Order: sequence, then C-alpha cells, then structure tokens
Amino acid sequence: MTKDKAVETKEKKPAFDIDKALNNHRFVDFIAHHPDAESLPMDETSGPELERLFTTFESKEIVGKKMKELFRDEIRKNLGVELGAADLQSIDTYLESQAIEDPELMRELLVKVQEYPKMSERIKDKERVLATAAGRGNLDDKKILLDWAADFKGGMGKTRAILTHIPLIKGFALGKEGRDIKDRLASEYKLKLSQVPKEITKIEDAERALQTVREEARRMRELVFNDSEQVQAIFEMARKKAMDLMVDISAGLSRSTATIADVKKAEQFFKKISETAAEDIFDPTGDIGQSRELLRNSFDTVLENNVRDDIMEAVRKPLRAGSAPLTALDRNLKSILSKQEIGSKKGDEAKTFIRETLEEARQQLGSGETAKKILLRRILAQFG
Amino acid sequence: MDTLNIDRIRELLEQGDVDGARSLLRKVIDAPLSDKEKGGIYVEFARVYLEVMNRINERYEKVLDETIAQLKEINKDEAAAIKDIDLKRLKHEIKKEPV
Repeated sequence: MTKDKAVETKEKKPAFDIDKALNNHRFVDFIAHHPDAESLPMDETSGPELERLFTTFESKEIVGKKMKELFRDEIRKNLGVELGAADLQSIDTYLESQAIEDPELMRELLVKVQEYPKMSERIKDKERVLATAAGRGNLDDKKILLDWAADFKGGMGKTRAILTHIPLIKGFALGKEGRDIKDRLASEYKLKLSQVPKEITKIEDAERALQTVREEARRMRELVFNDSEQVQAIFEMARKKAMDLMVDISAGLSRSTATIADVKKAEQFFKKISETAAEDIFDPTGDIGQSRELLRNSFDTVLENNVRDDIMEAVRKPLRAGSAPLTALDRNLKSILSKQEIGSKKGDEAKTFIRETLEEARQQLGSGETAKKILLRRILAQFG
Repeated sequence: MDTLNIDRIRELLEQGDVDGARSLLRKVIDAPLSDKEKGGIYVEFARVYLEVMNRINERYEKVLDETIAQLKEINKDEAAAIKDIDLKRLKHEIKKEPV
C-alpha cells in the first residue's frame, strides 16, 4: 500500500461491519473462546464490543505472523536456532489465549513488531545519507563499506557484532573535554575557510585557495570519523568483514582444487579493498599491514605465470596444414594480446610483459620452426 | 514459564552473549512443555529480542544523526567557500578581459 493510500485509509476508516466480521471464520473461532461472547445479543448494540474484539483479533494475527517471521529469518540467522513448525505454531496457540485474557498485551506487541522494521528502514536510509555526506563524490567506495557493515550487521554476525559493541555505543557520548576540542577545531575550520583572499588577482591564488578549502574540509570530515567511536565501530565491522572475506578467499586458494579463476576472484577483491584503502578516511586492509605487498606480489606471480603458460601453449600449438597460418596463430593468441591488465600491471606495463613473454616464446622455438618464428615476429610488429 | 528466565535472556543479549542466548532457547525447544507454555516463552523471547535490538538501533540512529549533521555542516561550509572563490575568480577573469 502506498503512503497516500495508507493515509486515505486512515482518514476514511469504514464503519465496522458486524456481518463482514462474522463471516471471517478465524474471528468467529476467536470470539468463541471469549467468556462473554455467547451472552452478546449480536445486534447493533454489540457493535462497539465486537469491534473492540475484532481489533484485538487483528492485532493478534499480525503479531503472530511477524513473530514467526522474526524467528524464521532474523533469530535463525543471528542465533543459529531454528524453530520447527510445531514450535512456530505454539506461538499462535499462546497468542490466541492471551488475546482474550490480556488484550492490552496484543496492542503492546503490535507496536513493537511494527516499529522494528520501520526503524531498520530508517537506519538504512540514514546510512545512505551518511555515505553521501562522507563520500562527496566517492559514494561508491563508501557505499561498499557501508554495505559491508550492513551486511555484517544483517547476517549471523549482526547481533554478535553490534551487541559486542554495546560498551562502545554506551560510551560514545563525548565528554566535556572531547566536545571542547571538537568545538575548537570546528572554529579553526571556519576561520580557515574565511581566510579566502578578499579579491582574486591571480588565477594561482584561486587554485591555492580552493586547494586549502578542500584540504581543510577533508581534514574535518576525517576528524568526524576519528572522533566517533561508533562510526569507528561500524568501520571496524566493515574492515573485519573485508578481512573475513579475504581469509575465506585465501583459504580457497590454498585448496588443491583452486583454479586460476579463484586467484582472479581473490585478486579482484584485494584490488577493490586496496583501492578503498587509498581513501583518506578508512582503510579496510589494516590487518594485512606489511604483508600487503607480499600478497600483491603473490597474486602477480600467479597471474603472470598463468599468462606466460597461456602464451607458451598458444605458440606451441601446431598450426593446421593448409590453414591461413598468420590468422591461425593470431587467433590462438587473440585473448592474450587483448589483455589490458595482468595482476597489478596495467596498460603499457601489461603490454610490455606480453611482448617480452612472446619474444621469449619465439626464441624458445626450435630450429625447425622458422616459419612460426617469422609469423610471431609479424604479430609482435603489429602488437606495437 | 519459569524454565526461561527472561531477565537472564535480556542480560545475555545485551552483553552480546549469543552462545548463552542460543543455549537457553535450545533448552526451551527440548523441554517437555505444553504448546501454550512454549508459545509463551517464544513470545517473551521475541519481545525481549525486539526491545534489545530497538534500543541498540536507537543508539545507533542517534550517532548516525549526529555524524550526518556534522558532515553536512562541514560540506555546507566547504561549498560556500568554494562558491566564494569561484565568484572572485570570475570577477578577476572579467576584469582581465573586458568586453
């Protein structure tokens, strides 16, 4: 239902229809358990009482449905406990009796189950706003981090991670000293921004002033993140999530069944988080520390060796007699020659690697393969 | 209903002791209780779970609000300063090349 329709429904709530309500067999079963139901005359004078019962009945139905969903989805994911069909059914059994005995409880539970998803939605929206405000043009990178954080919160780790950080959350409020420092820095920031020259007489002055403003704003944004323990906690979760994924991927690589596709996937992921690390506010690769270069080199070695093997294989592959030999050899090498990236090597660097490896392959050809040597030289000449 | 100490559940969830909360919930599943009794425990469990999560979300939302407000203020000041410089640069360029 759209928001407008919801408002419309609220404004023009139709009058309670006794017959319609009594045509709902679940409602009839429900009031059959009510001690006073039998004594109700069921004429128009029973309208208010029946309406009250119907409201409680509807609340019970919604609460039952939402609570079962909660157990089936979130609690199962977060706590790893799954209720069977009979256990889920027992929720209805209890609510059925409780709705008669304690209608107030149904109203209270209804508010809780309806408020919970609304708040989650609101938080998601605010996380998006935060990403935009923090990113200033780098939304995608920040969004990735916040998505990781949200994902981490949303999965099995959610409760654990968030609950683990409760002491942090509780301790978030800055003390007076912290507030004073923050206020002082904010004043300094405003002062620096106000020091823009009154008049621009040289274009360089404008460039310099712009640079100062952007640098100061970046510093202030960084400060906001550094100052907020909660935001740090979120980033900590995101970083942990990134590292967990990295560990998973690395574990996959150490398996004997690991393929070059696994290495490429790991390399792409590493590249993604390393690029994010170049951002000024947050470095998800923090845990990798000094081994980052080592990891980078390992990926490069595996991926370069893979390209080398492909080149050697393509060059050694016999050319069918009678076929157009240059075209055939070119076709064998086509996918390799079109590569723009090999591990951390990009563009010209990747091209140089391919050229040198092709030359190496050419030199390894035997004396009886002069024709292929000539064809390769032609391909190299065209490769540039 | 006394097999499940709801205060204990609340305490475990608030302390982030997921293993403890899980173990208690499993005990309920295996306990020889009537449908109504079990249902009552599950409803209580869900109620406490929602309360704890809502409280955590409220704190988190408050921090998000504060952080967003700070960032918006910084961004607003930055945009104003940039606009100021751009205007001054434009004035300078107009002066340099009179029509």
